[in-house]
Amino acid sequence: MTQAALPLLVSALAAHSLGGLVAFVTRRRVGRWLSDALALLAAAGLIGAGSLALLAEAPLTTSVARLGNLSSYRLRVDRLAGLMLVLQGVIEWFVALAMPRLLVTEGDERRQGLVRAACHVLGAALTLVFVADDTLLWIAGWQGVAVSSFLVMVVSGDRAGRRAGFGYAVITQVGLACLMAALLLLARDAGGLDFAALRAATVHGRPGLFVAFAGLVGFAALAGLAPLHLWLRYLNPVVAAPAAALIGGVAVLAGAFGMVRFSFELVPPPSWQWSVVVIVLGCASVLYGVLYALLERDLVRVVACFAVHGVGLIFVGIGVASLARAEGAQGVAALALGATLMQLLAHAGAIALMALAAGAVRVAAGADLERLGGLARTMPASSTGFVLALASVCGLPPLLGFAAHWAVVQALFRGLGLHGDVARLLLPAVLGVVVLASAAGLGVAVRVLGPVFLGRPRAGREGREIGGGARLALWGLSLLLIVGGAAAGAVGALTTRAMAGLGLGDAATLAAGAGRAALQRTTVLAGPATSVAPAVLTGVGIAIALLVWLGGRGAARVRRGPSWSGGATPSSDAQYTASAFAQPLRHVFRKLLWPGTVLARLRPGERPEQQVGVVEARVYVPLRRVLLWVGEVARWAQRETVLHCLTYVFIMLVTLLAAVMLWA
Amino acid sequence: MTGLLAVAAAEALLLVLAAPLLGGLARTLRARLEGRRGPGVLQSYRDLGKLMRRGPVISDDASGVSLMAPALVFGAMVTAAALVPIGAGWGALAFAGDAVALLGVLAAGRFVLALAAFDAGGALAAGGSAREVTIGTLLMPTLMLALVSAGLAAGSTGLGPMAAALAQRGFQGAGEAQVLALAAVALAVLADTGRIPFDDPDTRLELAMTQGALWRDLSGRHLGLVRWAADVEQLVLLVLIANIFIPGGRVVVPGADSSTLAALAIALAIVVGKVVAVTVGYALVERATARLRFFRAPDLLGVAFAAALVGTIFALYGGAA
Repeated sequence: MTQAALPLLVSALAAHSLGGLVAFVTRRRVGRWLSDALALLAAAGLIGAGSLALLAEAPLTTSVARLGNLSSYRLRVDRLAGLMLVLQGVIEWFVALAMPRLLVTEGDERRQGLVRAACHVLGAALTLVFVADDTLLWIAGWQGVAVSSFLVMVVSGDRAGRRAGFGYAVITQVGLACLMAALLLLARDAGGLDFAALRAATVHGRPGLFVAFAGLVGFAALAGLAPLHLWLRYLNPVVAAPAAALIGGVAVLAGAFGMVRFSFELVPPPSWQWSVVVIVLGCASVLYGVLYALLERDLVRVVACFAVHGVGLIFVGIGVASLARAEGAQGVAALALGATLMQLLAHAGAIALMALAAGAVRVAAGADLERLGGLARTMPASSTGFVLALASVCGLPPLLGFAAHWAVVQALFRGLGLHGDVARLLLPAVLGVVVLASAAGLGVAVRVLGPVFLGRPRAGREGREIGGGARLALWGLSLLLIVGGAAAGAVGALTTRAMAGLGLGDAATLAAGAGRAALQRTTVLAGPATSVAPAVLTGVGIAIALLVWLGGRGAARVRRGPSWSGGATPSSDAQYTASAFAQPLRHVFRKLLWPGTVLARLRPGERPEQQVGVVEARVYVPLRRVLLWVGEVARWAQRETVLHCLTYVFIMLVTLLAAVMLWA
Repeated sequence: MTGLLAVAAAEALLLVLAAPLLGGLARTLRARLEGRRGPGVLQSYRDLGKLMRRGPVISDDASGVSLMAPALVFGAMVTAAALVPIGAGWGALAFAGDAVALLGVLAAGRFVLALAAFDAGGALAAGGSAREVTIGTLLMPTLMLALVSAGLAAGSTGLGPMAAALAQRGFQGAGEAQVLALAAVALAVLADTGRIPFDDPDTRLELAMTQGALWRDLSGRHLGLVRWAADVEQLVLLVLIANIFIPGGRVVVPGADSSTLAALAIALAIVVGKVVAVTVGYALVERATARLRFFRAPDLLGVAFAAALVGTIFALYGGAA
C-alpha cells in the first residue's frame, strides 16, 4: 500500500511538467484550463504521496539514474518529507483553485501563461527539494526553486518586477553558493555525495563550524530570515497573488525544512554558539517582521512582513532545539522541534490565506491601505479570510496559530530549565520578544483590518468579492485554520510522527497524554504537566456570547442611526487611517525602527512606501557602495598592459596561498 | 472531582457576578480619599441594570462586527474567569487552558473590541483603539514573563499548579524574584485596567482617554456588556495577583483531605481579603499620582517589562542555588 507513494509522486511531477509545458506553449483558454487542472491533479498526487509516507513505518527510497560515478540521484520519502509534501499539496490545491480569478492582475494571456508555467516549475522543484536524497539533486531542486521564483517576478515586465527579481537572484545565489560549499565540504569528508554517506560523516573543528554557518547563511537566504529577508518585501507587490501564496506559503518554508534536514540529519550537532546565532537571527526576524508591518502602506507588503515574522519563529524553534540537543536534553529538543513543525504548518496556511485574500482585495479595489475602506460588507470571504489568517499568525485561540504559539512557549519554558548560563540569560528575553511580537502583531492586525474592511468605503471604491474557485479557496483555507486549531492534538500527533526519523530518541514527549479519552486525544494538545483544548475554550466563549446575544435580543431592539463623531457625521475621508493608527506604536518602537529620528519622518518628496527599513539603510546600501567601490578599484587590473596583468596575478596568488596556509 | 468542578464553576459565576462590585468599591474608595462621598458601592449594578434594559443604537455604516463584538468580548472574559483558580485549586476550565491560554483569551477579547471601534467610521473611537492596542502590546510580554517566572517554581505553565506551589511554599522563599514579578504584574494590571497613571476611568468624553474613547460608539446593552466585561477582566487579573503572586494563600487541591466546604470558605475569604487589599493599594496609588502623558506611559511599562525579565532570570538562578 505504502509503496504507491512513489508512483503518486512521480505522476505529480509529471503533471507539473506537462502543465508547465501546456501553459508555456498555448495561450488558448483550453490550455489555461488544462494547466490548472493538471496543477489540481499534481496537488492531489502530492497529498496522497505525502499521507502514505506519513503512514509508512520506514522511509521509501529509490534510485533514479546514474550519471558516471558522481552520484546515484536517490529519492527518499521519509515522514518529514511526507509532511512537507502534504503541506505543499494542500496549499497548491487552493492556489490552483484561485489561479484563474486572481491572475487578472498580470495583464495579457501571454504573461498569465508564463506565470502559470513558472508556478508549475516551482511546484516540481519544491517536490524535488523535499524528496531529494543526494547533494546534486538537492542543489538542483533549490536552483529550480530560485530560478522559477525569479521568473515569476520578472514576467510582469515592469521595472519594479525586474529590480525585485534581481535582488532576489543576488540573495538566493549567494545563499546557494554558501549551501553548495557547505555540502561539498561535508561530502569531501564523507567520501560520497548521497545523504546516506553525509549522515555518517563527522566534520569537526574549524571546517565543521564553517559548514554549519555556511548552511545557515544558505537557508536564511532561501527562507527569508533577517537580515536576508529583503527580497520578500520587494517580491509581494510585483507578483500575482497565487504565486505570492505559493512562494510565501511553501517555498519560504522549504527553506525552513532545509534547515531542519541540514542541521538535524546531515551535519553533526553544531555547537551552542551556532544555536545562539540562529536564535538571535530568528528573534530579529520576529521583531522586525512585525515592526515593518507597522510602517507598510501596501496591503500585500504587510503579508510579506508577516511571512518574515513566521519564519523567524520557526528559526527560534530550530535554534532552541539545537541548543537543547547540544546540552543533551533530548526531551526539550523534541518539544522544540515539534513546536517548530507545528509553527511551520500554521504559518503556511495563514500566509497562503493572507496572500490570496490580499490578492482578492487588490483585484477589487487596490492595495493602498489609506484608500481602502468598508470592504467587509461587499467582500465577506476575503475579509473573513484575512481576519482569521491574522488572528492565527498572532496566536489567538482557537486557530492553528494558537496551538503553534502554545507549543513554542512550552518549548521555551522547558528550555529555561536547561543548565548553562546561555539558556538562562537568553531564553527569557527570547520569550519576551516572541510575545511582544505577537502582541504587536495584533496591533498590526487591527491596523490593517479596521481601516480596510470596516467603516465606510474611502475614495469611492466599493470593491466586489472575488468569485469562482478563488472564493472557494478563501473559505477552504479559513476552514482549515479553524479545524486545525480545534483538532490541535491531532496536528501535534502528526508533527510528532513526522519528526520520528530525526534522531531525537522517542519523540513522544509532545504527546504525553497517552491515557486520555478519545475526544481529548484529538482536541487537547498536551505538553509536560499541562494541556490546552482551544476548541473547548472557544466553544465555551462563543456559547456564552450566543446566550447573551439571544437574551439581549428579546429585551430591546437594536436601532440604527447616522454615525456621530463629536457633533458631526464623519465623512468617509475623516475616518482614522492605518498610518494614524500605527503612530503610537511607531513612536514607542522608534529606536528600533530608525535610530535618531523621532517619528520616521519623511524627507521632502518622499512617499511612505519609499521609506527603507533600518536593515536596508544600514546594511544593504553601505554594502552596495563598498561593492561598487571594489569594482572601481579592480578596474585598473583590466588595463591591458602586461605589467598590470602580471601584478594582478601575483597579488591574487599570494592572497590565495596565504588563505590556504591560514586555513590549514 | 465532579464536585470540585461544580465548586469551581460556581466560583467563576460568583466572580462574574461580583465583578461590578469591585468597580464600585474602587470608585467609592477613591472618592473617599479625595474627600467626596462618592456614589456608593452598589452604583455599578444600578448603572449596569439601566444600560442592560436599553436597546443599543448602532451606526448606519456598521457591519455585523458591531452587533457581535460586545457579546464576544463578554464571552471571552467569562471564559477567562473560568480559567483562573479562585478558592478551589483549579479553575473550572483548567483542563482546557493554562497561563498561555488565559493571555490568549484576554488578547482575543481586546482584539475584537479594538476592531469594533472602527466599525462606525468615527475617528474618536479608532484613536482610543490605537492607544488601547499600544498599551496592550507593551503589557502582554510583561504578564507572560511574570507568569513564567511564577511557573518555574511549579514546573508548569498551568495556573492551578502555580497557585498550589505558592500556597505550599508560603512566605518562605519569597525572594527578590517574586518581589520583582509582583511589581511587574501590578504595574501591568494597573495599565490593563485603565487606572490613573495610564488612564482615568472617571472621565468619559476626553480625547486622551483609552477605554472611554474605545467605548465611544457603544450604547445601551452593548455598552453595559462591555463595561461588565471590563470589570470581569479587572477582577480576574486581581485574583491572579492574589493567588499567584502574593504568598500566604490557601488553595484547596483536588484529592487532598482538606477539600471540605470549611477549607474552601477559608481559602475564598483569604482571596477576597487579598483582592480588597490590592484594590485599596491601587486606590492609594491613584490618589497619590497624576496621570501620565500618553507617550510617557510606555516608559513605565518598559520598567515593568525589565522587572519581569530580571525577575525571571533571578528565579532561574535562585532555583539552582
